[in-house]
Amino acid sequence: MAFIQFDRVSKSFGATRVVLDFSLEIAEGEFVVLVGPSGCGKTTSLRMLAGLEQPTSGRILIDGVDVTQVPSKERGLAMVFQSYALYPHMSVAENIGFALSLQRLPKAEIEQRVAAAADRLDIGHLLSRKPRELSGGQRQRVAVARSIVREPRAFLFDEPLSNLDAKLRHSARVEIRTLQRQLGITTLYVTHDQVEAMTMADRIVVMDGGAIRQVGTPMDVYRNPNSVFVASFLGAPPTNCIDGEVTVSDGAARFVAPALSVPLPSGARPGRGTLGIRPESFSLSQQSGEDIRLEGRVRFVEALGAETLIDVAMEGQDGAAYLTARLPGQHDFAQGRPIGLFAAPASLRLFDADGNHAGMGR
Amino acid sequence: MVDTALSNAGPDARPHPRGGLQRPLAAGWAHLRGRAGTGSLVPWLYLAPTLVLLAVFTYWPLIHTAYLSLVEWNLNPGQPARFVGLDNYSRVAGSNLFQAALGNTLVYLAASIPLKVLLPIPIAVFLWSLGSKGHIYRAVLFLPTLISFVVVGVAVMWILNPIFGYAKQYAAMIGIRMPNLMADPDTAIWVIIVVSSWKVLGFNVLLYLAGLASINRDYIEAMRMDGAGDGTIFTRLIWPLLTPTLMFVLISTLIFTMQQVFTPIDLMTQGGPSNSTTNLFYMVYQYSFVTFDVGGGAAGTVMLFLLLMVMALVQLRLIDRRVQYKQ
Repeated sequence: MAFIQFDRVSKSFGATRVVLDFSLEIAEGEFVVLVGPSGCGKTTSLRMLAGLEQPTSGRILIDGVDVTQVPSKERGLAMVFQSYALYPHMSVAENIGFALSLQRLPKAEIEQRVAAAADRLDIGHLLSRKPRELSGGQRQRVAVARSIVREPRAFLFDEPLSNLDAKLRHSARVEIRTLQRQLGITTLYVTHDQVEAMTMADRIVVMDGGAIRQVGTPMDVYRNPNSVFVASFLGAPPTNCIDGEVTVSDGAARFVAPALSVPLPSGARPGRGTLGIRPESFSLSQQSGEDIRLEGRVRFVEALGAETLIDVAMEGQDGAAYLTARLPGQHDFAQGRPIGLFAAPASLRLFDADGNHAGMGR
Repeated sequence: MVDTALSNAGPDARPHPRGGLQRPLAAGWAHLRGRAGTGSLVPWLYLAPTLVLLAVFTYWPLIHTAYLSLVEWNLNPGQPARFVGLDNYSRVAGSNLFQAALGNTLVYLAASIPLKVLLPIPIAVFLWSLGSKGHIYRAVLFLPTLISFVVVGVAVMWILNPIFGYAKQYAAMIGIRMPNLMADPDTAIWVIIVVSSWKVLGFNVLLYLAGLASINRDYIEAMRMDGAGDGTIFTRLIWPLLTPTLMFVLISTLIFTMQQVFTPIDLMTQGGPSNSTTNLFYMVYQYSFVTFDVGGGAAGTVMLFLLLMVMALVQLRLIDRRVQYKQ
């Protein structure tokens, strides 16, 4: 187990700045997920910890020791690559035991540890096969077995599930998380898949443009996004973000947008802003007297079985606003039919003109 | 073809439930398959251009050469060839020229492995490690491949000329009297070996670079994470994954070497001095077109063909077992 620190780490490739002032602490045994869109710098941050990229500035510490200049082979970390990077000319057993053979451990010990790692991942029957003879899911298990057999100080995962189909991805998520909890090894996991981030992480780190946008437990970040970016990145479908203006009249604040006027709690400052409403915040019936009511017309209905997604257009004289509601159960609405949606005021998030949280709804 | 198919459909042709005339089309395909599969000339017509070229320029010369190796003939159309059995083989095999050519051929081949097959590997790996920065070096290395061997041969003869060559000046600077490398039976073959290696080096580097390009760089990073250094990465990863390319370079270079050195031999030494630079390929030329001994030349050609065939088979059988073809 290792305590990992990124201390104001930056990375540039030529004139392109990829990671900016990245500071993060990962506690011993913690499972931290870096999540963000393509090109946000998450993989580069992981590779800098692995020693595969050299930071342009800043320090990386493992257990308090500065390892910024230490070669990757001396950092004691294990990494699972997106492509798995299984050595194609070696058998599964040779792949798993390769790092041990480099340590010149006795052959019997290597065999015993390889067998133990393979059993743990239920691939004991595949040890004599070559990687090309394995399915995608089996390759992923071999890659994980290769990383655990060394008993590393920390695991690094670089989008290890992105090549699996949806069903396998679900079971692999559970297995990796279970394994990590059993072993208690500090883990940094990179993904662009928010479901992986939400379901696996102790804490998630949302990145964008090379910088950290928000750090917190998955539910905290989900419930209390600190910016329009985080609100719209986490969640599927994403948060409804409606641009408009906060007006204050006689002490009463309202959020006004085309075809929309919503009362706001006192304290909201006037000016341009964005209102965020999670799709699941809507209901078809009023839950309390304070609920706001939005009127619109059904544009499109997506029946997912357990729930229904309804695209709603709210059209006014000065324009239109569009939002998506996620309702439990099955609903059949004709296209163009008027619909009324209710949402609790506490579920609204207001962001200022810069896209940052404006203090409402927490 | 569609017209034919439709006309053969018969009166009971009817629209297919999903649209179109299913029966006439099926009948048309069956008709074509029948024509193609049961003694039709259509496949042979497609194959004809290749078959004709192969027959005229490969198989017939091979057969005719085998025939010529069994007769005595001096290229005079008015004089009939006389069947002599295997005399040409025994005569050529027993000649000093053949023994010198065979020995030199083995020297050329043996020297080719380190200089033309192995030396390009570290150069290619170095250029590969440079990434896009290595492009200029690739171009510089490949340049000799594009230069005519005649130009190279003449330039080398000028450089090495013991009286007015450039090398003489540099030899004098370190106090050495420039030897006549081309006139010395011990050194002339090495001049040809070095020149031919220099000329093919860039091409083989390019082949290895193509092989290296197919190696996923994630493997290297995974090995680094596993604790491997550069030496281990080369011996345990790059070398095994480069074996298909190595195999190709080995076979093509050894076979190509037999022919490639023809030009420098003919231009620089004509096989001399004292047959010290001739090889089996040049020997065939000497028999056939210098002394016009057609039977001897043909016998030499057949022996050369068999030697190359055995070489290729041995290489494929022995080395193929160690090759990692699939990644």
